[in-house]
Amino acid sequence: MKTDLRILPEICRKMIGKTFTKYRCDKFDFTNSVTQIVGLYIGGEVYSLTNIQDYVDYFGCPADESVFRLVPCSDGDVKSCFVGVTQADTPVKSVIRSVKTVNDWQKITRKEDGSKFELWLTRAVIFCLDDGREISFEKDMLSFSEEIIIRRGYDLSGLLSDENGFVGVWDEDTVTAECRRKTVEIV
Amino acid sequence: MGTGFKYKSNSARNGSIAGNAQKHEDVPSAPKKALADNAQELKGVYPLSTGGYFGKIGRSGASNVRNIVCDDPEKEAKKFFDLASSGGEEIPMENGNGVSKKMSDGCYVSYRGASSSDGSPAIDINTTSGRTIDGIKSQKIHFVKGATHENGFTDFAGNM
Repeated sequence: MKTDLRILPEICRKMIGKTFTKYRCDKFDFTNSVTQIVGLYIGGEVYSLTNIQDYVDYFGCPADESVFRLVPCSDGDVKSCFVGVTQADTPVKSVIRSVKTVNDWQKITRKEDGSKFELWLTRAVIFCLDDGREISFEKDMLSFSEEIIIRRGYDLSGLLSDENGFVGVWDEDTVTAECRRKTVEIV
Repeated sequence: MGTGFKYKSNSARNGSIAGNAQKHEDVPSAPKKALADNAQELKGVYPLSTGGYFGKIGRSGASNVRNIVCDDPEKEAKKFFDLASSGGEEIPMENGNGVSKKMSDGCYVSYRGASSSDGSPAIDINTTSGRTIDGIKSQKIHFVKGATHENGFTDFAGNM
C-alpha cells in the first residue's frame, strides 16, 4: 500500500524566474512557526501553502494527519485559521532562481503479518533567490501538527528536522520503520 | 473546572463555535498558565506512561497516537481538555473544526469533537519543538468506547 502526499513539481516550476514579492502569515509567537497557512505572493499570483489535518490512509490505518499542500488561490483565501488574528506581510522582493522540494519516503513493516506500507510526503519547500538568500517552509515533523516552520538565510537544507525522527515514533516491538529523504531542485 | 466555552459535539459539528469566536474577538486574554502548571493534576487523573504518553497505543503502532477507552468518550474528552488546558488562551478555529488553547509556555492543546478518521473526540497536545513538558510529550489522544487487549492495542466498539 502506497500513499503519495507530495507537492507536485509542476506548480513550483511556474514560479521560476518570477519575483517573490512577499509572504503572509500569522506573526511568530513562541517559535518561528505558524499554524495551518502561509500565503505566497509570486509573480502577481497568490498561492496558499497549507498544513491542515485531513483524513488520510496513514500506513494502513484511517487517521487525521496534517497534509502539506501548495495551490493557487485568491488573496481572500489567505487568512489566519484563528478567529480575530490579523496576519502580517513579510517582504521578499527577489527573483526566484530555483525551488527545492524536500521529500521524505517513509515505510513501515508490521511484524505481526509482514504487511508493508509506504508514504511519500513533502517535508519542506525551499525558495532559492537570485541574491543568494533562501526561504524555507517546513512541515512540522509531528505528523498531526499543523505548524509550518519558516526560516530565512543560507543553506537552509541543513537546518531541516532530521528525517529519522519519524523512525523513533513507532513501537519497535510491533513495527519496523524506515525513512529516506530526497531533494528535487526545480530550475 | 469548566472553561466556559461550548464544545463541538458529534451531532452539531459546526453549531457551537460561533459564540466563542465572538467572545475571543471581544475579550482577548493572554494565557495565564503553562501546560506544566496543569501536568500534576492531569497525571493524577490520567496515568502517564514512562514514555510520556497517556492511554494506550492505537492500532497504527505510532507511539504518539493514543486511545483512552471510556464509557462516555465525549464527556471524558472534555474533562481531559479542561484539565490540560486550564488557564490557556482560547483560540477557536476559523473553519469551526474545534478549539485550540495556547498555554503560556507556547504549548497548544486542541480539541476536536469528531475526528474524521473514526468520529471519536480527539485531543492534540503539541509541546512544540519536540519538547517534553513535565514528562508529557506531544501526542494525539482519541477517546473511544471499546476494549483494550492485553497487547495494548485497542478495538473500537464499532469494530468489535
